[in-house]
Amino acid sequence: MQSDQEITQNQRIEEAGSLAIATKGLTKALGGANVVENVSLEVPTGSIYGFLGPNGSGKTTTIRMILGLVAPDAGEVEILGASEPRDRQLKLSRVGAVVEGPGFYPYLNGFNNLKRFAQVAYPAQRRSNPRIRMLTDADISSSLELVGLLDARNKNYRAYSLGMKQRLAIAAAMLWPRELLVLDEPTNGLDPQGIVEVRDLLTSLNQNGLTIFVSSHILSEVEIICSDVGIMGEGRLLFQGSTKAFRSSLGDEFVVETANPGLAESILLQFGFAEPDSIEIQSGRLSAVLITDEIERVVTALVNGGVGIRAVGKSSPSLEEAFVALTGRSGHAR
Amino acid sequence: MLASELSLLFRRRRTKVLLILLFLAPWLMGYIIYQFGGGRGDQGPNFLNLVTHNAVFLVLASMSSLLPLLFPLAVSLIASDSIAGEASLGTLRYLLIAPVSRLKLLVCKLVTSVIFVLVASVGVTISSLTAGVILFPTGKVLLLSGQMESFAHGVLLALLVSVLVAASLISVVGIGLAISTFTDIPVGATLGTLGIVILSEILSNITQVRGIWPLLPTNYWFSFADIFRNPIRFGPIWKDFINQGIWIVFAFTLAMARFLNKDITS
Amino acid sequence: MKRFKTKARSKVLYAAPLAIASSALAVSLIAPQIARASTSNLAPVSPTQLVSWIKSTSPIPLSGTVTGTTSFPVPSASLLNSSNPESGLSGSSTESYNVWANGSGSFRSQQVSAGAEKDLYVTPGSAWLWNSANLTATNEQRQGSDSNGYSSGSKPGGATPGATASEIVSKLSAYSALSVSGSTMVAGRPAFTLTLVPTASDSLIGSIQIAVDGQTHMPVQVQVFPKGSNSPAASLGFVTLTFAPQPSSIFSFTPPSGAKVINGVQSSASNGNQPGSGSGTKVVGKGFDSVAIVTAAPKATSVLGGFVKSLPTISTPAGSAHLYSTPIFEALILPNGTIVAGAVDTSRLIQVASGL
Repeated sequence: MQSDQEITQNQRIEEAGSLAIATKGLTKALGGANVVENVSLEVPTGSIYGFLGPNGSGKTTTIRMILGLVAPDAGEVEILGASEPRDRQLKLSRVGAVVEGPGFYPYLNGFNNLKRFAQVAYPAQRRSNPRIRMLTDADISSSLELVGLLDARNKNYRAYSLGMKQRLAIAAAMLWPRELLVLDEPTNGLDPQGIVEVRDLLTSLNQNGLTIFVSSHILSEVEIICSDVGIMGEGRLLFQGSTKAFRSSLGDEFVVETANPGLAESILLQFGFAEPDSIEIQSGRLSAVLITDEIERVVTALVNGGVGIRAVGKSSPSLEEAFVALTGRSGHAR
Repeated sequence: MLASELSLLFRRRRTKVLLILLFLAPWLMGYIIYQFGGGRGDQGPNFLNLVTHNAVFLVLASMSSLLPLLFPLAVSLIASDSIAGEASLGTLRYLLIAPVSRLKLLVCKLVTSVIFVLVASVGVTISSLTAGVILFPTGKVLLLSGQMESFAHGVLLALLVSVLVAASLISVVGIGLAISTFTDIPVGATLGTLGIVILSEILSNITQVRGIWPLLPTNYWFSFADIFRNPIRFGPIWKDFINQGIWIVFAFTLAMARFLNKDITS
Repeated sequence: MKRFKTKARSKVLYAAPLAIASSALAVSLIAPQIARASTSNLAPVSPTQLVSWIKSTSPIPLSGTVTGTTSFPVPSASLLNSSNPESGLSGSSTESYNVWANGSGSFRSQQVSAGAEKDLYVTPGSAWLWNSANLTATNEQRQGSDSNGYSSGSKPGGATPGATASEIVSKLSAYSALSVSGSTMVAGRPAFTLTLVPTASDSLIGSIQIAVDGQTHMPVQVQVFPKGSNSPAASLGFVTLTFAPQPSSIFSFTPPSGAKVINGVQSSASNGNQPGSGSGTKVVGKGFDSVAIVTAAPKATSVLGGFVKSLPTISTPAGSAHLYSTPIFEALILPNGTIVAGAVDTSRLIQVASGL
């Protein structure tokens, strides 16, 4: 890990308000159809950016374009301030990534796998920082320790469980000093305990100054830690902004508990306070998205109409619901 | 990077098994000839009739029997694994974002495969000489033209043979590397490479296509035997060098064009 | 953000392999034609001058490769190597061998096959035939050699363009219309061409062309054209040729230890497939019309048996005979083994055969 903390924190101060990843109009067609269409990402430096969307929504292709694995048909990519291909290539030495699952040599053990990637990355590391030294065996062991694989270091990769493989991939992404982590579905195959561990790891890395770009198709796995989100659906970026902004963009729900929810519904419709399809009735409970902000008027109307109110309030939808609502509207919810 | 590639290749069990099989072939062959004699030996370039006369000819006999199939098989297994193997394991994307430049990766894979070819060829020669010295006479060496040379001279010629055989296999390395950039399935790339070698061997027997014979990668493969003549027949050896040179430049530039343009979706 | 199109990769890279592949193909397919089409400008000479050069060729130190080609199947090539004569009978036939001469009586020809070779080592006073495939050295001294090179039928490198040209000119020039045609290139060297057109009209041969090296005046190529055809049915000539002194090591040969040494022709059953040996030959007619009558030895017919049986039969007054027909000569093999052959048509052969 060397002195990554120092470097990245200095960097962060310099680049306050800057973007770690920026894309403009990224478009890619594979097999005739556009897999990614006009995606413009803005990932603030220092953020944990949740890149969310159902499977097949174009997340992985976008990530591959950011990392230079796939050439976009149109659009631009800037990574850590570099936009020319040569500069971006060099900047990749400051980026750790897990793309579409781990990829290692099954006939090598965990330690030798990391050593292989340390060796191949060394020349680029040297180019971006001439003072850097090749990782020692102790450095590699401490990377393994970070993800709890020290005991399995001499085991062949082929014998690793899915969770161990995933953790080895994160260890590989963290081998050298990094400014940015790009993690594509890092929680795939992990048990709930493992997911919590990864989340904790990411939070602590972020507190040390790393920008983290993490994709998932299961929002609940990452929503707690994300400061920013981008929502993908059908190859397009449906929403991008802070997690807070995402939450508030959907409007609050009005909830009333009553013995007579049917009467309450007809009053809401009669006064035009809500659209019929936004009203939901469960036993003794009505919820609706209100068109008006004047909750006082709504409550008065209900009371005057003879609805006996036990409780009334506002509820914010969970990100999960918002996510399903957003991507579901484009017919892609799973 | 190159050191890492080499250690990756030679640490792999598959590579070791391949090399051991190749190195054992001369012993098996030597033992069979020792037990049952060299046969009439009046057909084809097998040198079997000469092996019982001198140990050095076991090198030629081994090369002649390994060159048509086993050597190309081993070389295509290694060369066609270069890119397709990394792609199928999913390691290719991690190498490229390490980051390793695509051109550098391609060059390292090429050099690694060439070194494998040299190790295999020199190894077979040393293995053949060892088996030959144990099983057969080690006196003066007969040239194909009828003259006798010292044993040391014969051993020197045998070592030259290993270099010539390695050079003859450069085209297979190139073809394997090129095909390797077009697919993510290593077995497909191996079969494709081997298919081209076999097609070339078939075409070199069809007189109707005599015009393209000089271009076939296998056309001058047996030119290594020409250093056992008096005078040494350099013509086919130079032609082989030129042929292999054209193939490797063609195949490498093709691999480059493909790989530098390729979307890595594996 | 800097403006930059990320799609930086380029299909232009494919131009390199494409250019290499197409130029390699072009060179290999077109270059031989260019070499064939090239001509030279030599000062004109008279046919008689050429004839005298051909007849008086003196040995010159040289090394080169001679290729003999026929557009029809020839049995002898396969008889040399295999006990199954029918194996070599499809299509045309090509044979190449390397030759060296030191200019003072030493001559070597080398027929190379994959992993083996046959050599003829001729030095003043000795002649060895070496076969590496079965490790036999045959002492051929008794057959000797002449100054134009070694001529002994089916031996590797037996016929050189020089010896063949000299024989043709001495036997046929009296029956031919001679002309010197435009200068050609043989083995990359400028050469004169002497054309012999039969004065008699009933020969199968349209013309014989003999190329003579412009510098050394040595015959370097003989081509036989059938009547009405522009491509030779048989050709013998140098494809590479260098005039230079040769090291003596090229000509030195002593049978190596472990080799089987055979003395003379009597015991060389595996090599001596000359139908002429131990048989009587009579010639009827003159020049291009001459017909040879060979009373074959039983040995020769038995060796040729498989090949003869594969030939079509025709009926003649002397019984049902096998006919070996090529564009430039025909041969009848009669039931009693007698061979009637010449560069004439079948009816003439039948006529000669019925007169026996």
